[in-house]
Amino acid sequence: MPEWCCPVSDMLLVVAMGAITYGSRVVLLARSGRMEGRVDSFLERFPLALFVALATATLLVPDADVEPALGYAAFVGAVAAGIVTRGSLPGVLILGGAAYWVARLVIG
Amino acid sequence: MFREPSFRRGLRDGFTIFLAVGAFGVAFGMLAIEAGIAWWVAVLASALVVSGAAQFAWLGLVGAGVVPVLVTTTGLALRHVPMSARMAALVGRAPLRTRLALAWVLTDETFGLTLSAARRGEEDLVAYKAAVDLQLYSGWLAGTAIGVAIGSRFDPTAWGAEAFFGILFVGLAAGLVRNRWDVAVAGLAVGATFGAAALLPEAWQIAAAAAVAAGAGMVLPGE
Repeated sequence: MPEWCCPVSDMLLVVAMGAITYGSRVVLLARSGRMEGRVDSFLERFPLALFVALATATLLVPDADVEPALGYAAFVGAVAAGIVTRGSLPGVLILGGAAYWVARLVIG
Repeated sequence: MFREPSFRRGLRDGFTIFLAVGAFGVAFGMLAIEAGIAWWVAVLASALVVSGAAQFAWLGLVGAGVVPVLVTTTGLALRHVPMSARMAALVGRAPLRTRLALAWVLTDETFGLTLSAARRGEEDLVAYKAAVDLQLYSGWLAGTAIGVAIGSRFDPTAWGAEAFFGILFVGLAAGLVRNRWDVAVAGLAVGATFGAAALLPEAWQIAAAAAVAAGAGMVLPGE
């Protein structure tokens, strides 16, 4: 890599990463109140879509962090727990975790 | 604020996040040392960036140059923009300095817990989120410090920590499902994530999939 290309140190790179990340977090939080119209409809649906996408990326997609069989077991267990407990977060964590560990013990 | 019942509930709800994020902080610190990052830069990264996804991606790109790291960081950060807009609606008319502080630890986990608390009718969301932020931030920083100190003698996957976050996200989503249209949005998000995984670089997949599903959800009835 040419010398002129990237003369920044790790520390400056970290500062730039922090600035980008904080900027994305603060840009709309700095203004108070709700958005209106279609944007508000989008924002109303966004959290659910985000958490499902994160769960899918973590547990289900081929390159997920978790081994496929264990990821599917954890996902199915967590979704079933969400239905049975009517969306209780502790319930999902306990039963989803139990499904993961049972699968891990069975599959090895 | 620290004596508020909402603050205490935030500390209680955030404790599991403290433990899980702390474990991943240890892994981050350990891998940073292995990647040749100075210990103090690794701790600085956890203090300033506060994003596990961006920080782990950075370690994977050491030596690739500045531009790939910053492009990846931008891709991973994009999802915070709608989160910050939603959070602005939740914390209402809190002073600007309070909102600037709450943005510092606006992560998937703190956002999700605060949103769940809002649905339960938590009375002081600022105090609640401040407590959850404190749990996550202290866990992440302490974990990183321990990780750079102990080196590669700890594997968080040995006790299933990698699955914890996936299950947590299912739980956070489950609390947001109110009707069949929400189930449809969730189904769209699963499909969009598989599509994004096949078509896009990893850093852009989550933001793109969530935006597609939420965008489609815009035209569905609210009730």
